[in-house]
Amino acid sequence: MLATVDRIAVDGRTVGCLVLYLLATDHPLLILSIGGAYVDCGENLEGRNLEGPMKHGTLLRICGCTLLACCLGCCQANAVLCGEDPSRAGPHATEPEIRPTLLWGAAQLVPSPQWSLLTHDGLRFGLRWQVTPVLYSFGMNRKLSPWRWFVVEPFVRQVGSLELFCSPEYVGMKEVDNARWSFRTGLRGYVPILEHGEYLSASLASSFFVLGGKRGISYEAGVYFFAGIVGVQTTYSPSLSEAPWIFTLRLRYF
Amino acid sequence: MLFLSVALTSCNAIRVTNGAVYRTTVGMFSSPREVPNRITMPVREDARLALLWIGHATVLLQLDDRFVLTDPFLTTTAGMVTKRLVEPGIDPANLPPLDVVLISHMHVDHLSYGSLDLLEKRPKQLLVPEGGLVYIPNYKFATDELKTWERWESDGLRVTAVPVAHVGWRYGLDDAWMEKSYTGYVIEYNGMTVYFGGDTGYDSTMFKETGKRFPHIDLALLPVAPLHPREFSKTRHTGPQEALQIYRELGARTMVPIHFDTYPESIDSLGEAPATLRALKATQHLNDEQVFIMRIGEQRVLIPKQAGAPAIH
Repeated sequence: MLATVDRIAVDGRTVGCLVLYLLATDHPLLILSIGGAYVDCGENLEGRNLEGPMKHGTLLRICGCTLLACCLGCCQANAVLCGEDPSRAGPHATEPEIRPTLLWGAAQLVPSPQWSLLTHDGLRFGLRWQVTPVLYSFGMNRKLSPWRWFVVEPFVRQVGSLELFCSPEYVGMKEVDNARWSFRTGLRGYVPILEHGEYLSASLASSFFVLGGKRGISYEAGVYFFAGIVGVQTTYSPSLSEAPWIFTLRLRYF
Repeated sequence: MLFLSVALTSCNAIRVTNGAVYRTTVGMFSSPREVPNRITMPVREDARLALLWIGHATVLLQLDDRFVLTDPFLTTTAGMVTKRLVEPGIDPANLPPLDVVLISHMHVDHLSYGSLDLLEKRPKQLLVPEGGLVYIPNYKFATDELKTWERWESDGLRVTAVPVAHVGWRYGLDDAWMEKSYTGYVIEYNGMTVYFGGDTGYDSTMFKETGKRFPHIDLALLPVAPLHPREFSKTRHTGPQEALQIYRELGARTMVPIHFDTYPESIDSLGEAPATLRALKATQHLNDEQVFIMRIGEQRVLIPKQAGAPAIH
């Protein structure tokens, strides 16, 4: 397994890092895994000047991102090395004909309650919805396609996966540009802990958010029970000084 | 909580009734009943066909030198919530190497990841119904799907997927596309034939057809619970009455009931299913050679090995 860390620099400053994992074994599958790719443009997007010494915060973000990438890369490597030999594959591996249904649509409307921790004003209740445009499951049976679009079975997600997610959020945050709604999109990695993730799993994520006139990067960690139907997440947005922490009771069914 | 119970712990929605929730809640705080004198050496040198009922739909079958395990449920809970009432009839560490492990459908009491993990390197092969691989993680042993009437064979041990009447979902909403992920199996080896019904409702056509294709079934493992509420349950679950009907339609020599009194699956009273079956046995004049009700952890030799008799190949 080869791991490389590429530094991305602008005007001599590190603004991001890219971690690549190349796994080449005698396994029939050659796995090229982009464990994490992230460019920290937070300060730039907030209209600040990029010049000047690099802040500790930026370095921390890069380190966090690298850690996430390493975790995901290791999980993928583990899944490949410890799994079943595909040469023993039988004649059938039926791809499920997954499709959106009315019930699925209704399930997507169920929000997750969340509480923003305001720096000066306690907790603020909000709601979060989540959509998964695309998910790659590295823990599911390798005889089947690991890709999912919007509709994702709980097992396929919690057994180990990487998802692109979009979250509209009702935040009711008058302290930040009187913003009521926020939108975030990012990358989340799930790792199974107990019973292949069905009893217990965890996640790490990094996302980009828009809240009123503010934009920035958030980091998130979560744990999930009951096949991911119930979980808790905490989101940290270092650049959002008015409310850097959000605690979410994640409710998600498919 | 009710929703979670349905999604994760149940073979059907009757679990949401008050009685089931009560039992599930109470069961969470009590330890499973111990099985006295659990068998530690399940391999029977004196048997050609033997079975050990481990509980629920989990049966260890010995066909001469081959071992088959059905729907392994060896963990303390089913689906995280529902605790089993009786401990497994064997310590998983004492299981022999398994030639095949059969999964009849995707419900948490039949496809238990924790139980498959406990088997470690014992199985050579895991067979699941059509469309079932999507819920099977990457194990070191081979995993394959079988469509209805399709056959898997290895060194004379033959397993055929046979039709049953049940449902294929695991989480509820996946019912829309998991339409075929349930099956029964017929296991054949050295002239012996075992039918495993998994979990099924009653459909005469299916069982008559299976009986026609496999005219010499030595043993039929048939579910007899949950019983109530019958109107709701009968399309997916056979009670003792229907199980006896299936036994006849299959033309099996012996029937052993499974899928009862292992964990709080419905509003049935503990012991209700076997008691009903005993009563029906008496009224229908069936003897123990025909219908044998086992205890969890009990092992029975159905076809003994005759001294000096050569193995049949």
